[in-house]
Amino acid sequence: MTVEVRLFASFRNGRFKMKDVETEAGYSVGDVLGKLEIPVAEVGILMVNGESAAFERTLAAGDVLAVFPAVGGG
Amino acid sequence: MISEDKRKILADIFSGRGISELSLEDTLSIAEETKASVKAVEWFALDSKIEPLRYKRNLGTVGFDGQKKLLESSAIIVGMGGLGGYLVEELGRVGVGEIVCCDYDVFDATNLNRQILSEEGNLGVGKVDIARQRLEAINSGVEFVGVTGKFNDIDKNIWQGAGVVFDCLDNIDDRMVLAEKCTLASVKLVHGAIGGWYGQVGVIRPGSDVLSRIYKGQRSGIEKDVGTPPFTAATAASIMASKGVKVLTGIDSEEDYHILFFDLLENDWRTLKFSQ
Repeated sequence: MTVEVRLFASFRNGRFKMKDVETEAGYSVGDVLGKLEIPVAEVGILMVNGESAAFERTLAAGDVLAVFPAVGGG
Repeated sequence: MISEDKRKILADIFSGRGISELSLEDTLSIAEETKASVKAVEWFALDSKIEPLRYKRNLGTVGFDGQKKLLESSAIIVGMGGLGGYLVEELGRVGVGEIVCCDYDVFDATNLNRQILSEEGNLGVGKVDIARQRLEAINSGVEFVGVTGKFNDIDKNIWQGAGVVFDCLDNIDDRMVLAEKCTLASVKLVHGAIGGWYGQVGVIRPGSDVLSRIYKGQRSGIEKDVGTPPFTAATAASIMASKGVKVLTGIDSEEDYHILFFDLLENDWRTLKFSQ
């Protein structure tokens, strides 16, 4: 199955803005990030189909995953 | 805001001087003559539908009632850095009646790129002391409360009187603790954070776990690698100020409680829905 991954801000550097990613049934958000080699320690907001999600969220075919980096400066 | 006695005295003076709009000179001289505060004189003018010139360019936006509400309000700004400095400037000029500024630190050279209150000539000076000077210089009609220390040092009465708190901190750990503090005090928190070309802003309701859902236990963000440039700080702070004004005047909408994430490099602005 595939999920659509949308990367934002600094995560686009050297990667992509939007891509269909092949996954297996039962894959979590964290599994997809690992497959894409996105460092988990840099991840902030995660949205699945427009709602905030956690690393553990299990993805279904056709889900849209949006990944934003954590920003904490001021 | 003002006693009936003071109201009568001010009404007599306004009518005696034939004031149809309130100049700064009249404001200051009436305050001195009546021993009323500058804020009270300006509030009375607004209550009488007389425009204080200081707020003339606000009134079309917030209205007489909105401006009165702002003058009656108290806001706490936690952190006098890249975000907090601009908030002092903007809340002072828009006319929030009491502005509480909290920071334990002094300015250093790494602040000069973005912190509007920092100057070559005030490095080593306390941030809260400089905030006081700036606020006194731009608006003597608002009250300044300085807290040189951590936000836990802010007096209980100030928390109780606050209409909104601004999260202008520079690290995630403290932001999480501040959100808990705002929950305990039942006050809304305007969160803002930046890193490089990117920033996020949103209003957090007391009791909400939005910050936990955003940060997921992270200890720092990408700012450690990509820095904090001035335009991102000014952009985030200005959006925070606009949201704070909406909360204080009661015209905030559900949209303000989502997280706005902006990317100034690719001109990409997203409103991200977080159920609160």
